[in-house]
Amino acid sequence: MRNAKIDQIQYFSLFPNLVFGKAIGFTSGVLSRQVGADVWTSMLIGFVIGTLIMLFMTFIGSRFPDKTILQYSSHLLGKWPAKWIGVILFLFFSVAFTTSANVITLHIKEYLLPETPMIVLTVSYVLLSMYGVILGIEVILRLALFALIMTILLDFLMVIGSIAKFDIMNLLPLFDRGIVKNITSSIYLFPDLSFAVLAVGMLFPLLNQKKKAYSLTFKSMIAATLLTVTWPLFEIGVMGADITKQYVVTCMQMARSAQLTLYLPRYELIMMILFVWGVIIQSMVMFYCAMYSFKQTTGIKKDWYIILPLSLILMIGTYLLGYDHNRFVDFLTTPWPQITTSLSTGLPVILFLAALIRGKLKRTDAE
Amino acid sequence: MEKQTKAYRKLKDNEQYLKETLGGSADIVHRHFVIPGLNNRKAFLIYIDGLVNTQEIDDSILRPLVSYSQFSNEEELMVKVDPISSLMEAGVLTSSVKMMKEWEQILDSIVCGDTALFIEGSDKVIIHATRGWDARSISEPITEGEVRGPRDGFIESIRSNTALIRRRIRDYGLRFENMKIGKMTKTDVSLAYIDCLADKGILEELKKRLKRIDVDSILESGYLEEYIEDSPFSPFPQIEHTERPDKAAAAILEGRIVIIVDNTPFVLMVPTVMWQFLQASGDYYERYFMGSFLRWIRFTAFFLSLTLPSIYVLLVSFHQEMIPTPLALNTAAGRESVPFPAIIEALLMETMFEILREAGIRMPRQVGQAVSIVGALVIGDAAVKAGIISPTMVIIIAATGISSFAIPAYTVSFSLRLLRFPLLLLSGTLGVFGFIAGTIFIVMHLLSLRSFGAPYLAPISPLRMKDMKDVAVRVPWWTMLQRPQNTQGQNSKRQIEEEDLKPKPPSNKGRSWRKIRNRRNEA
Repeated sequence: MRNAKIDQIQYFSLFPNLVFGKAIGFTSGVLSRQVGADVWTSMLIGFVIGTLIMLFMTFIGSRFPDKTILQYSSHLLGKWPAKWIGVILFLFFSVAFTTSANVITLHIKEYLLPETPMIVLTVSYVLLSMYGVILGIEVILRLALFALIMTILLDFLMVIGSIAKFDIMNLLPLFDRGIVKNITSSIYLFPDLSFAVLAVGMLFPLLNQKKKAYSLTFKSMIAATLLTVTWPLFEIGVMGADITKQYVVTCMQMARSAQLTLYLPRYELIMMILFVWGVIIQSMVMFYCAMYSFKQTTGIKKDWYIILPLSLILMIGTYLLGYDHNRFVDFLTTPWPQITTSLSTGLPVILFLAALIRGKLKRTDAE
Repeated sequence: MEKQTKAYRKLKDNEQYLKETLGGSADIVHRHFVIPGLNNRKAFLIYIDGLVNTQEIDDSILRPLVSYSQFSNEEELMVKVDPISSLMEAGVLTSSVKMMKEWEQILDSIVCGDTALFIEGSDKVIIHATRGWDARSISEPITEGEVRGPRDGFIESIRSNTALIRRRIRDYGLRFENMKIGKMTKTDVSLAYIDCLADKGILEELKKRLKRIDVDSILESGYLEEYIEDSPFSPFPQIEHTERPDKAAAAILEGRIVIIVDNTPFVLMVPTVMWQFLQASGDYYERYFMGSFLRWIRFTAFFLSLTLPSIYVLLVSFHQEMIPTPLALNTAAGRESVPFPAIIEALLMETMFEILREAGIRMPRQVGQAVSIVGALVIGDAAVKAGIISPTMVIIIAATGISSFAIPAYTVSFSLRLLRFPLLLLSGTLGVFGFIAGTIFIVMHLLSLRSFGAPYLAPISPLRMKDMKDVAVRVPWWTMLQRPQNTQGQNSKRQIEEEDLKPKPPSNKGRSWRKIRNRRNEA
């Protein structure tokens, strides 16, 4: 990782992929059960808050341009608190991986391959992610550009396939549940946003042009917002809030509502082919960050010593979390959003305060 | 006699050493004679019959030495300088002569087709360049045919091949660096590049990798390729090869380095990016619309060649609902009598197709073509009638096979053939998930590859907009202002600004054709 460097395009491509995958299906399903037709407005609010936190995290990272969040935690808080943060982040990234992996396994299990055993899907997916981690973060982030193109294509096809069925009346009245409810419910987006916030802490040192970090982060989050909010907007606009809330994987139901000409009557398969690219980036980045957190916390030199057992742990974790979809959805409702919200907002604030007290907030060359 | 590394003074010792070292091979010729110009000193020539131009030996070495004709006016020279040196300067007519003392150098020269002249009382040996053997004449490249473009191809002679490049590039900076690789074959290898264009880092790395090779034989450039590529376990080739001198010259002009190996018409070019395998020389000779269109056809062929059987198998086996209803019904009707699952059907047909293709290559050309066509038609038709496979599968396999033929680079086409099988197995067992997983695996692998430091998928990943002019489309020549960045060359500028080069019709504003013609005549 020390030697890897990523360019602006790779950095820009990263964040839409990190937040998109789960947000368009599971998160919008959870949100629709909370705020009905206000899913897209609540999500929009969540993205505004998330973008501010991302910029805040970038601000802290730019003060320590060559250090990961664990390294500057050690610098600011001392060795043992940093170790604790390392353990917490390792657990966070590992669980984040399992949620991300289950997005795919459940999509496939419930809509495309009902006969395939869950364990087969889980093992295959973890092995694929493991291969990406073995190749390294640079390769993963290069793939992110391809994934972003696939995501844009996915949105475009969904929009043109379902625009004829879009009814604006389904979206009205705006803020039906009240602005406060919209804001408080936006924490359900934090499981997705926290991937991006904490990934900044881990991957910021790799960026080769740190002077553009703020503008890149901001533009990237705008892209992420547009690509992601399009889905709940159309889910509500096409299916209506009452139908949307019935489904665990709302995006697949949405895909079923789209029709790309007479010759492509079903859109799920195309959606799946395009959709997996973004989610695999999410999973591989989480896997990599989990591995790297553990590596920096324990001081183990060889990646292999961590990757192999970690893969096994992630296989078991993914399977246990995903084999009952109700349990998975419950977990995504409580306690996962609360944990991720606390972590992705609390940790930057703690580090900021520590830097402020220690006088480490001076401008650096990175800016 | 104690063996030593340098030639002896006595003729007898030298001859004995040569006989011990080279043995009594039938093709080694010893020609004894005396040189009147050196007071009838004894001498002998040694050369290998078949590797030398005997006419040149007679006319340029033996005749002048024996007839004394060359020395009649050179007595002063003989007195002033060393007789052997004077013999080199004025005694023989060979175009290239060298003086050597080390046995290793002398023997290397002899086995390469030079003629060595040993003289009594001298430990200096005169090596005459007399190489000349039968070689295939320059003809059209067999593996890289083009509708438009030069018709000459490389041959098995390294010197002819360097000349073919020289004929195209007359820049003073063109360099050919020679080295010998292979302890037993001592194969000549030449690195061709333009001094002010090629990246020195890549050049040094290439030399380092070549010098590291310590093997008994190099019989083809493929040997070298395996020794110097970055990722030896990858199914994808990371070094491009070609039989076309124009393609090699274009690579050199882009700042790349060409490796020419003796005894093979295939030269290597480094560094390489994957898109080059989907480009053909004709793209640059035809108009750019056509060149770009053909590239899209090849990209489509590339995709189909890799994925078409897998997509068919996953749709038929797992996701029938995705096929439009009329087509689904027809496909199902065709498969009704087939006893195998789609994956077995596909694997059977693919394997059969590969066998047919291999048989077509191995058999004599006339028979091979007949076997391929008859085999495909008869076996395919009979298999459908027998209910072993479905008609749709025949179409799928045929389309896949034809797509793989549309890829200009045989090596990449072969890589796709290899990868088609695992992708087929994944799609046949895990449906769309297996297909996506396999595809992502391949893309990740491609992203991880490098060729002498250049990212394999550049300029798409990492994205370099300036280089995109020659990937998916081939833009007009007058817009290709810079050389590709992936070669990491020293000088990227190719030509002047676009506006100055873009062709325009002559403007009639305030000018008549007569005036223009008059001005031209004045000029």
